[in-house]
Amino acid sequence: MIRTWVDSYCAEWMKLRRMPVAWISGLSGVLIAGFLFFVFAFKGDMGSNVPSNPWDGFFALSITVFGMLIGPFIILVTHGVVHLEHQTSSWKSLYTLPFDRAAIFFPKSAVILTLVLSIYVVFGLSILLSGLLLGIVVPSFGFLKYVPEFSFLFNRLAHLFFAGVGMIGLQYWISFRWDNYLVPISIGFIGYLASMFTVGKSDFAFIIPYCYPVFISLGLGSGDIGRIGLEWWGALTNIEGYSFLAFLLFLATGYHQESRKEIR
Amino acid sequence: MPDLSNTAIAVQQLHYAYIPGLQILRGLTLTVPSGAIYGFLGENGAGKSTTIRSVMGLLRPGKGGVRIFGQNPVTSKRSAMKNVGALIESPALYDHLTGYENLHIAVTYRRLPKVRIGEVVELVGLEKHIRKRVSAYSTGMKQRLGLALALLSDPPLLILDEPTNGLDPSGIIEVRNCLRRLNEQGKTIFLSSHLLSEIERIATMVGIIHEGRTMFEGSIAELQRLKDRESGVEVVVDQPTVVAALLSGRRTVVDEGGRLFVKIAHEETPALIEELIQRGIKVYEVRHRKSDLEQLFLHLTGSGQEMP
Repeated sequence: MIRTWVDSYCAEWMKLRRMPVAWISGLSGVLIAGFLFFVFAFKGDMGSNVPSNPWDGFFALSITVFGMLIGPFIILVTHGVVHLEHQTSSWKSLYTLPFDRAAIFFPKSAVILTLVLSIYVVFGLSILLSGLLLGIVVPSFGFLKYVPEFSFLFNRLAHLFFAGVGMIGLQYWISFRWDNYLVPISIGFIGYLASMFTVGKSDFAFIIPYCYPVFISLGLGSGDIGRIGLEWWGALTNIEGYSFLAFLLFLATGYHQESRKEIR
Repeated sequence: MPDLSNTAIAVQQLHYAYIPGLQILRGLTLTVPSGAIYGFLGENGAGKSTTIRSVMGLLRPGKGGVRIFGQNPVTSKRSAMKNVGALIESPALYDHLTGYENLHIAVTYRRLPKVRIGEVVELVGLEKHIRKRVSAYSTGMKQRLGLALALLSDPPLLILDEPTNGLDPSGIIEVRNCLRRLNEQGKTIFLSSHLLSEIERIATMVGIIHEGRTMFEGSIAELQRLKDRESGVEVVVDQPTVVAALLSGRRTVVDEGGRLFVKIAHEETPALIEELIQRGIKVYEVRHRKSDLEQLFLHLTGSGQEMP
């Protein structure tokens, strides 16, 4: 079974060649980091307010902004990977391969997780590069005089990624459920917009997975995690716990429906 | 079900409705022996694609059973589907990729050797275009690539839903010849079409479906005999009403706007012409007319003939 799943995972990657989702996952991290670079470069006082190591403030602010902006990219990547099969009517071929539908459904979700993870990795590397460039362009910020705290960057991005898997699960299920292009995208974007208005203002936000990255951004970014209802559950926050739960729930629901679906 | 290991496809009393109460398949029964080229004929909307999707396990029929080499395609999917290559309606292709990349994906899913790609590409005659993006392919080229995908795993059974759709005459001949070669190599081919002439040229067995029921199943020779019963001549004469009255007691005569259709065996035609001339009728034109699918359907459905 594992061999079949690995083969399926590899086949899924091959389909992404020359697809916009591959570009989105490759470039979104660079775009957000580039945007932050220009904000810092042209609004110089932001960096100069940092008392000691400028990397700390730069990372904290960048990751907060990244967490607020990452939602639409996750929606586009998840939907793009699933919609390709609707668009090409490929289900009739995929579901007549001599193995269980699980070997299509789960490796595809793993590809999406990998793509989204790559956004975070690319962003992490791009933000490091941005800091170095800022050090050259605006030497007064002092980026070249200090060593960045990599563990902070890694930890904060890891929390954000974990908070994003719930919304990946939900969007994955929605994109399977509707073969139309606009409906799943619209639901995703409405969910993302809802996160902007509900996080920290309504308890309703805790049941919307699209809100989870924003929770982490605002909560961990502010330093007062209790202010918007975040709690530590060991090394993770409650939001990350809900996110994993949502991911598993929507994946299980999606597979349950998909394994019984008739391809007409 | 009985022992069906030598039967490529066995469909027993299959019922299917997309919407409750609106039956598409109404007790369809088919038996496709191993090694046959089985022509599955039916008008558009007769239920051909629904049958194929049920055979492939994509639909779950309410009643009845399907077996592929004795295996249930839903409950024993792995063992049933490893024996099948299929082209269901239009081929499912990734347009943004090349033909080669599409085949490479299929090879990866099935863990087949890459060398198979070259073999099937040669078989369907796509060598010159295989590195082009599928979005630049003509309908015929896409159809060939779909056929190549079905052939990749070298399966003993090929299920092809209207495989010559969109092909030009030379493409149709090439596909036909390719299917004959594959059949000679021992493959069973299940081929659906709405064109009787297409099936007649290639099939060794025929099944005719109408409104979700099997109306005929037998060898091509049996179909020919059935067709001969429905064949006749078109006659253009100076007094069609007189001729119609003259023959009406003995023959089935249909007046088609001054042109008479007389149901008659081919070898009886000279006697008919002679009789008309002897009676002083001027005969301007006599043309043999073979029964086409539409007439065959009318005959089969009109007489209520149906498979048990």
